[in-house]
Amino acid sequence: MPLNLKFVYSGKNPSAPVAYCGFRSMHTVMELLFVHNDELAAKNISRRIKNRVDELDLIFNRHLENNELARLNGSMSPVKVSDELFFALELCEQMRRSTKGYFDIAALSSTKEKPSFSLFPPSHEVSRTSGQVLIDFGGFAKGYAIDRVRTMLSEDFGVEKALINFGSSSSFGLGTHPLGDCWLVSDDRDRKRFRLKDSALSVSGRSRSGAGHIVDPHTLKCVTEGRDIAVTGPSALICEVLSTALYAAPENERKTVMEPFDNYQFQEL
Amino acid sequence: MNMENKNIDRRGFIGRLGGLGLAGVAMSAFPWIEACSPKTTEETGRDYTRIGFIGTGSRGCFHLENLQKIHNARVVALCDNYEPHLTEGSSYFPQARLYSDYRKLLEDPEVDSVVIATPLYCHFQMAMDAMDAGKNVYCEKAMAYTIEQCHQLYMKHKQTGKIFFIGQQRLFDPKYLKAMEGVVKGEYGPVVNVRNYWFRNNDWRRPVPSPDLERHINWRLYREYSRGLMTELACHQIQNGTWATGMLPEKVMGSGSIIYWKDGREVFDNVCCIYTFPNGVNMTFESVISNAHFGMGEQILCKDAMVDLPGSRIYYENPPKKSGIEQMIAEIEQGIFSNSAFAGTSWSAENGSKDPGISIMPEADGDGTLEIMQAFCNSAISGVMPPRILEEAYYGTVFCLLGDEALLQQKTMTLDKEFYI
Repeated sequence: MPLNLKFVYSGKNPSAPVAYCGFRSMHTVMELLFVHNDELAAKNISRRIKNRVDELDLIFNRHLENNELARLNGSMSPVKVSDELFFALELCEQMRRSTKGYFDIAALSSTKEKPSFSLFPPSHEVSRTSGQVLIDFGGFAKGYAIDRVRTMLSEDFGVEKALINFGSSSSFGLGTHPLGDCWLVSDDRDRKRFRLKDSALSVSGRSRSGAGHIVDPHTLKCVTEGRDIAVTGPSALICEVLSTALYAAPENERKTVMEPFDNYQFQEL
Repeated sequence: MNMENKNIDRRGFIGRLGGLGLAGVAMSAFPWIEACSPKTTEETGRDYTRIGFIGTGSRGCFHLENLQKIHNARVVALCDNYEPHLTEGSSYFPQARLYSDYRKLLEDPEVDSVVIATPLYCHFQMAMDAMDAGKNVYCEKAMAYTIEQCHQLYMKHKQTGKIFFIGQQRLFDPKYLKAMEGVVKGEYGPVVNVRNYWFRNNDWRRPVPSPDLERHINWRLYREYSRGLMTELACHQIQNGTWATGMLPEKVMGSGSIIYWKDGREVFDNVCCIYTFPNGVNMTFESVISNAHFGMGEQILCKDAMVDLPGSRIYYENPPKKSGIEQMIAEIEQGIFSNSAFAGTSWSAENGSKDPGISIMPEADGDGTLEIMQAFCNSAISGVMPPRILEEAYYGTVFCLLGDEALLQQKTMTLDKEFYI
């Protein structure tokens, strides 16, 4: 087994053999629980998932010294990036526009100038519009990774029932719990319970210590007030984007932010 | 209301329990459930039981609403000596014959079974008369007003062989069954204490249209009719200790008084009892109706975990160092469809140390009242009395009454040998 991959398998309940894997990535922990009747195959799936998420961490982690994101954040010249990073940047820009600017991977920049970067599709080059721009995939990467993992599970490995949790703030229920009609997930303070069935949940707000960490891109100020926001819907990525945007947005802007997103619901916790 | 969807038949009854994760429950711990199995149902030749319903007050109407959902029950007669209640009751079954005297209802040859939902002091005579009249009986708890009466009723059941249920619905509550299974099997270590409490903040009064009806309507407040908090509330909870430990209490001591609602009532408005089992384990029952902060609780304290029965959660003494999701493995192994509590805002690498407990049965609804009534109808049709169910109910009431004696006499009480069954 790869280092730092925790794997547990149980076939004690013959009607619901389950595998669990957990590993650190993106400064937090990804966990999966999935139904599978073959322990060896389940272990292999877990390895493949971890490898994939590690790949994504390498792409999206701005704290690494030598990855392409670090090069992008450190250069004023156009930087050629991988297909996946280019695609992610395109997606982020689309999300920024769709959320009236309240989701912005450049929110930690010291400039309000928009857009923060230019994309050159033919060459897959990216250039920041100023040296004050800082690209950070917080509020995006976990949801993106979950959606990728979900696709791998169902399309590559034929897994029909799984619960994915990434850092507690993003989760996805694939199919149903083996003994129920959904996956039941509640928030850690037991305020709300969510029924996930082929759907995701993302929670944004202050950290458990009470400190704010989400920045309003329009003011560049850290949001330190307001109740946590939970968003549910089909894509973990969009749920994460929306929960971040809605927490940053003033209350009277939330409905507007949600307008383009059918099939997504939000609530305050 | 779509009655078709609301109906539950006997097969549905077991299926419902199974669907809630009870399929693997050790039936030896709950033999009364086994007695309602589909196999037994198929062996019966009859389709339904004809019910005469006595006492159509608030609790009675709750049962009547449930009976509308039970396809093998036919409510053919209703009785109450208080006209407004009888009118209310007849709205559930407009075709039922109406009586103001229960003895007339018992003479009705089309009544096979009776449900008694009257004040406590009526239970004994009505149930005795009903069994003498050849009727099966479902009687609301508590079983009767005195220990002697409970014993006589038990012997009457033995003598007549009629089906006799007491409304101890927790015996059919899926949450309780699931939780108790683990306790009985010793999965959480030995039982070291049982805590029961019921706190409310109201005067326990019902509106009275005219003063001459005060004692009739507010019978719970007067000693002539009621044993107060012990029979109305403790009776639901005292059986937990017997159920969990597999023993009967050896003695009980306690104290009760009227501390706030000094409005002419005769029963205590606060009580505290301690029951001690032969192995030294204590079980408490506390009730105060002038402060509701703690609400209602029933907790089995075992060496390794505390089992919260109404909350349907297990709190381990040393919670395993596992995340919410990883804990689900053990729950799935036990056939539990659990809730995973982890969603939050932080990027924390580990779950906090605050143990949220493990949900036993998050999807369970209801409190067993519908199921026990369904079981009664099943038994009335099959003629099969589920094992142990009456004994559980008998001791549930008897030890509440003994507790009340301890409160009244202000001394430690033990049960006379003649009342052990």
